[in-house]
Amino acid sequence: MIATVKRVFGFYSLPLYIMGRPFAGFYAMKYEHQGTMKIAFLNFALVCISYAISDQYASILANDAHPLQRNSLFGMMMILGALLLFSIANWSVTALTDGEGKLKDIIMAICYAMTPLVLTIAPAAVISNFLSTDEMGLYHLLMAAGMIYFVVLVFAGLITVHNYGAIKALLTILLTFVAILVIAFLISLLLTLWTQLFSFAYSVYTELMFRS
Amino acid sequence: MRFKKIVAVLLAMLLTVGWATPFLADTPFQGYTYNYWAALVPSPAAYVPARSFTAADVCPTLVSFVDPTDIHVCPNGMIFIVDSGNHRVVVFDQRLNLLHVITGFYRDGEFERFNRPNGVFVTPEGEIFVADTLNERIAVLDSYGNFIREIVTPEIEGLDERLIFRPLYVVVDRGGRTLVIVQHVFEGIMNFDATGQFVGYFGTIEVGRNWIEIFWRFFMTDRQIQNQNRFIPTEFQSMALDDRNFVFTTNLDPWGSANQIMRLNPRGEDVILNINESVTLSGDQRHRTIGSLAGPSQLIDVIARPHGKVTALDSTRGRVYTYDAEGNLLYVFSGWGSIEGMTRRPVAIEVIGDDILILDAHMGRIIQFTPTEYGALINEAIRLRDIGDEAGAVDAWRRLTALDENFELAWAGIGRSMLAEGNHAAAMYYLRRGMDLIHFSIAFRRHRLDVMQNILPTVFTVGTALIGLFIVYKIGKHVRNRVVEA
Repeated sequence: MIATVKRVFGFYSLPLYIMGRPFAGFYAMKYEHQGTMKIAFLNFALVCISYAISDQYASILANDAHPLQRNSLFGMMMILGALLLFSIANWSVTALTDGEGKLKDIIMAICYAMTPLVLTIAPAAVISNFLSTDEMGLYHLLMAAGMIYFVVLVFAGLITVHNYGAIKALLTILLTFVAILVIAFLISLLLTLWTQLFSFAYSVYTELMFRS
Repeated sequence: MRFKKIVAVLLAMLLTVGWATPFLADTPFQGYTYNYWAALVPSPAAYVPARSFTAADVCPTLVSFVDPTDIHVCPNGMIFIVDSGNHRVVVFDQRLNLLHVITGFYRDGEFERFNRPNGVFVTPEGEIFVADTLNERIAVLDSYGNFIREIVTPEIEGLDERLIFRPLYVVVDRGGRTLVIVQHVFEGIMNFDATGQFVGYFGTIEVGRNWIEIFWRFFMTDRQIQNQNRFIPTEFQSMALDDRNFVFTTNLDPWGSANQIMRLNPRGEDVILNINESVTLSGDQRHRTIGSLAGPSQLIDVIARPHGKVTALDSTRGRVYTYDAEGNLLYVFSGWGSIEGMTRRPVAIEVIGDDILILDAHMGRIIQFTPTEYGALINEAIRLRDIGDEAGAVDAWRRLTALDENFELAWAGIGRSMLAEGNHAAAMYYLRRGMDLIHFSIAFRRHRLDVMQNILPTVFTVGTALIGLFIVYKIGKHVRNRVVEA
């Protein structure tokens, strides 16, 4: 099966194969060393570009955000941040609960699971330009379908990568969200402390400058 | 030589710069409106102060107004000021000739003085309704000030025993119903029939829910809940009848985010339109929370204007907001201050034609505002749109876009009439610019149909021809192969 897909789609075959056969695909990705970080980053980059296209070129009827508040670069950073945050949190949880996946595996699995987003976001943006408000349900349906498919694939990917059962995977994902909260708290704490340290150093500096 | 010429020309150009007059009326306040995203958009001043006058300007011997509370202009142009601190109603005409000073009335040979009257209303027949607050009654007088009847505390089974009938504002609609806002009555506006009998409450204010408080209630004992403040609706602040016999009212919103203006139909249901829900009918959309002039707008008075417009007065910053029949903010003027055109303690507004009067209780002063070219154009465009003169309205909207390019409603107005004309592609441009997405969507759908009707015949013709050619080619090939084989 995978050989056929490979012959047709070349280097991008595994992400597409995963969409149809998630468990077999993720198994091939990790345990048969078929997955590469290059393709994972390609998938991630494609999602970022799709997001930017959707942000900039979707119909005003689909996305009526204020022009000054549309910042595609910031949105991309948010996607990257979410990816890293979730991966690190999941890794830190699964490392304690006998998960077999390494951080690299987790990131790769999530990136490989992004294929539905690549296939829906940009086409939905194009389609939205041919739809009126009443018909915009089609656009939202496409976006939601891609998103749900993505979530399902991430779930399957994590199960496969960590060699978990479904219940355990669900529990670790819940714990992952707790870990995300902890990390966010730590980051904000660190930032605050860093700011205070910096302002202290700066006041010492100004004091020295005034006295010299 | 040539260089010198260039310098001379440049200098001459520089000189003219100084004489370029800014296209702004010289007002102490900045006009503005809100766009589709509730972002503030500065605009030219729509109204400017024309004159202001006090009691002394009406009559030199008249004691100046103390705590005036209400102003009313009746259809024949007479101006009624309720001078609450002096317990009187002062009546004068628009040329500031004093007509009456009503301090009370004779009943059965005895003079009864008003006690802190708060509101006044004059019916088209000339009957004067005075909300005589501390005397707990509404006095109905004829146009000469003679007593006709009074409306007092209703005696009806089932009404709250503790009710103290302190009427603040009164309005009489064309059906003869008397609607009264009573102090500390939260059930609604009290509704009396033409004979003065209490009929029931009219209009209610929905209580806003605060999710945090509801959450905390889960953890409270019954005792604690009993000691809590009850969720009580806010009081009605003012009333105005519009030309369709609907009642505009305002009520305060502690958060400043919900609609503060209501339009009650004869059944007492709120039917106000607010098409763009990101801009509510609540004055300023954003406000400072601490410092001077902080807090949400408090719309304490409202007047109905012709063609569905409604104007409301904010007591927090003294600004006057005007909305059209769809709830779009048209213009804002005046504000807090001591300069001419600003108010310190505005309490009431009233309208004379297109002019607007603000009653400032601080100095007992009345300020009359008159529309500028910009404001008059907006009023004119709204009028033409309302009476259905599309061509005239488009002309007015176009002139408005020349004065204020950022005024979305003008672009949307042009777009809507283009849509009605059937010029869908152009309508799309104007409606998009005016951020009228509802009509933009309609224009877009029709434009899409136009395009498809234009190109689909060609597409189908060419497609059919291609398929035909392909079939002919295939058959030809087949036949040739047969021939070669044979």
